[in-house]
Amino acid sequence: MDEFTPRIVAFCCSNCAAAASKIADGLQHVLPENVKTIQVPCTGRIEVLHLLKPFEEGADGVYVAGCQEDSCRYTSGISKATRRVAHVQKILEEIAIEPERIAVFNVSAGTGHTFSEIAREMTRKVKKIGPLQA
Amino acid sequence: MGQNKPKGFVMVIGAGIAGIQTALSLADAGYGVHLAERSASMGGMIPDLHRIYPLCACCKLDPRIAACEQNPNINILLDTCVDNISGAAGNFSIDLTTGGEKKKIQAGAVIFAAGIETFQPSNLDYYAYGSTPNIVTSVEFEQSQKPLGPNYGMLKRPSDGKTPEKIAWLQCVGSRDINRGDASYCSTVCCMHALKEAVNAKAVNEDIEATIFFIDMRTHGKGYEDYLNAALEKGVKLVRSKVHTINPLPETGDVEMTYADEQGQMQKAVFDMAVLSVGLRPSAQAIELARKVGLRVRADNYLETEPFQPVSTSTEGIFVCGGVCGPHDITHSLIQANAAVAQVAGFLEPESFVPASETAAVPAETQGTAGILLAYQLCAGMSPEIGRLVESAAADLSAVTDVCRLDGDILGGLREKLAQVAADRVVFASCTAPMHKESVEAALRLSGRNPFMYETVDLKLLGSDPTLAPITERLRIGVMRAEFLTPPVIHEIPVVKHALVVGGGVAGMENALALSREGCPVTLVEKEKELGGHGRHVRATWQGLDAQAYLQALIRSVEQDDNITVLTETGVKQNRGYAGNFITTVKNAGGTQEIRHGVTILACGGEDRKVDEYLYGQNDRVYLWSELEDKLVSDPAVVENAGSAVFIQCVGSREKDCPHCSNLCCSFTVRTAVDLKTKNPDMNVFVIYREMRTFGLRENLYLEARKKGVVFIRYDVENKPRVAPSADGKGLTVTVFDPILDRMVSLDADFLSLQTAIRPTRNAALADIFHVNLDGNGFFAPSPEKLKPVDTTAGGVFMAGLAAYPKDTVDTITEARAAAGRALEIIRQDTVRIGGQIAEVTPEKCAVCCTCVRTCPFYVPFIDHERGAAYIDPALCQGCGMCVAECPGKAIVMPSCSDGMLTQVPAALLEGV
Repeated sequence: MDEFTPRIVAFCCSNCAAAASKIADGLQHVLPENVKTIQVPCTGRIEVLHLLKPFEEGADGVYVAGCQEDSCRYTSGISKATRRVAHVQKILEEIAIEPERIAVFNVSAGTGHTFSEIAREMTRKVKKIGPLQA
Repeated sequence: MGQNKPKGFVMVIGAGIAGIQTALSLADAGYGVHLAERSASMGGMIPDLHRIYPLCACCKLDPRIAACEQNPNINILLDTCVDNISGAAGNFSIDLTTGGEKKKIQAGAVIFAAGIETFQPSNLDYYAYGSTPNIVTSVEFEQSQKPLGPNYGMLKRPSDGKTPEKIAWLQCVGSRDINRGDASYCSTVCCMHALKEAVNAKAVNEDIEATIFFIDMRTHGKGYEDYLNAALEKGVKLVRSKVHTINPLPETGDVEMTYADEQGQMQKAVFDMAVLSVGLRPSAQAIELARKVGLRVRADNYLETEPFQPVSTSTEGIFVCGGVCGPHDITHSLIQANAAVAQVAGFLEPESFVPASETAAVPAETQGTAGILLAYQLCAGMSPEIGRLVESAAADLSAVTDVCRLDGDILGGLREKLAQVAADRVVFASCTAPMHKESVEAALRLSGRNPFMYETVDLKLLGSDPTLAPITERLRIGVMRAEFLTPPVIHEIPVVKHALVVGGGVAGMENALALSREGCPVTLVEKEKELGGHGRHVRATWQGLDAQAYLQALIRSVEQDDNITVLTETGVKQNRGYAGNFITTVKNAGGTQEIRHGVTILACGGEDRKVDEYLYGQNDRVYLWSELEDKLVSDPAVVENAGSAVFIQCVGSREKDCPHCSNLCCSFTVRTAVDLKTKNPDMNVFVIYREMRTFGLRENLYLEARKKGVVFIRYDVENKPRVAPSADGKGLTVTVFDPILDRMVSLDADFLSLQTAIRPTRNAALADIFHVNLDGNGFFAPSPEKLKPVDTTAGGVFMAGLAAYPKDTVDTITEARAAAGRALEIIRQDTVRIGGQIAEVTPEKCAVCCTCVRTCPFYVPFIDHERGAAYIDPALCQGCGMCVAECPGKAIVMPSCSDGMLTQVPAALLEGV
């Protein structure tokens, strides 16, 4: 039997996450294929619906990768995203889906390793939970 | 813009952060720039740093380096040594050795931006550096903290890899040390550096005990004191001491510090490891070159700058910025870099490496999707296999109508291709594609298309053995996103070539003159009757220069300048518009008047705080420092003939209700004390202080004051000095606890000078009028884009002087010129582009709930009552999309990042998996 590979959608801030992935590239890290990234101008743009929709479409996990709290060029983007992710976790809980299937990460340009690392970490985590049953 | 100026290229020596900044600004202004760097890479010290105070800002360096590499007006010369400079201003001839070859280069101006080196502590045997791996320098420690470093950001003790539980930082290693460190000055940056390392160490593991051994904690910059307070709250320990020796303990690998505490008692403490906060030295090679070409060099080996000309060397046409003219932090180096650019522009006409760029055509209206052009570029380090895979992936994407490969010249190549195809939108794929946005936008614009009809695809993180699947998928996302684009409305608005300067103090006047030198007309608004501002209360700069003579000359230059219109006793009432096109209403006795201008400079000043402590206002022998200065200017005899003087520092400052450090008060006091002692050696002068913050080269003055017999007594804020009229009623008695003598002492004073906090005077009102943010201490907040220290939070609005943060006269001049340099970047453009990747309100759907008004981090949306809906000014919107997400009525849309795209693209992505 094939090993379960979770399908994950990642929303990434184009300011810091993009710069961070550049450094990761220098280290020859590879972004895992099961993680699909969508860049947004700022993680504050992401709504609850955008975070829920991928689950409906068959994703096993979703995460937001944004700036460090004190380094957002739009000041409060990542804190808004963090709040929304917390809210979505509650919604998931209410409909009996593991809230750990959604997470938020703070990356920064100085932490390129983390950019591909969080993709792996999320993959590991969701793998443990198992596939999302429709 | 000016007349009769020579024309030429510019030579920038050193590609650290200051050199990179000057090169970019000069190239944007049309100068061809030769950027020479001794080492094999750009960035100077910055790549060694983990975080730049107070934020993560490393991501700001890489884009700047990339921008230099792509700019056709910047000629980067790595592994290059400048051997000699001959000729004169406007016509220098520079000898270089680049890649082992000798070369000659012509330039109209030269900027020394060669930066710093750090002190090597090996010869200080009492600190045992080199004898155990567990004693490291602050630079080595920070490298080990980097998440990309050998330990992946985890703290490990070098000798055995164990997680350190107790770390000691030792300040002033190779600074403030004339015996073995051979530098009398303070290196300025190390206190913040140690605090940052300690805070970051505790962020990794809060149980780590971080202790800093220090003499004076010098956190004198904008926001630095807040950082210190936060560090203390996080449990960073400070020990005021003088460290005698560090002894390695070989059995355990630990280190033992032997130090004298404030009372002079010897103490011992054991740590897992020790970090030596090493001082700064100017780049030795640059100083050698400076000496060779006859520039004046100070005894401490820094390049000497001219009086009141903070970035000018002793040779006309040769300028300096960054660490080579003094131990400066990154912020100050950047301010100097911008100031140097303004100085070059003041005397040299730009000569470009490339012909002047064509003016942009107005984008054509497009309807429907006329096709998608997929353009890709491979960098040198990328596998050519990626190109083949991109082509084959593109063949399977039906929406892609054309494919082309670009080599090197993105703008030119893309434009050429666009001329041949019908496609109205572009998908651009490359390594770090967002960095090429400007080139892609320009190519679209110049080919008559809407410049925002593109998407980028990153070809990174593909590994060394790329496969088709991930490339196809990324291209598919890009193409789908491109299909969702609707062309935003774009307007080209002419730039109003006029500046408004608010405030007629030193900052405002210097700024106006720098703008005027470049041919930009200026309206200078001053609320008082006369020009001069707080500068009128400054007798001498800390360097000992006559500030009043300088101020009078400055006022004359402004009044005689035909390009500068001075409006005194005038207030600002209202402002609207955006960078390039503002309208401001000003009001005076003559009525109101509207001024149209392209840029705004806020230089509205500050003043020393009035307090009700220490008998101020009750006894006429108690002065505020500005009052003492006035007295020293108008009636010096009374003060100079006094038998005894007492200065109290940090009055109503660095306390709960006013936490910032006012930066220049310590230097003011030692300057005044030295001058009083010189005039009247018999006078007893006492300085009662909390931390002596004579940072940088000011430390030499502190030493001089001590040598002249000025007595310094430290106090804690919990145990303030007490002031009472003396028993005979003629003078004052100051009682204070002396921690060295460990008892109370009583001092007689003929007069008392209170160094109170400097606070902004009118920032709150002006922040409202000009829609800019203030920081926690009431000063104008810097741009959230980072590393733009004179930009406010609003585009086209800049700041300088005390309104930005307390600073001395010479630093104010630097900052004023830097603000002029930044402002000129806008003034030089013929048009500004309005619109693009921004949020728009659909008025029919708007319920006027004000959610967007409250959400926007930049206070852009407002309720337009005539429309009955919220309005987002396209010129001010920064394009984050937060209001789009928050709007409960879904009345706000963002064509570049629509709901449709955000919901449907993930669905499509998940299909094939």
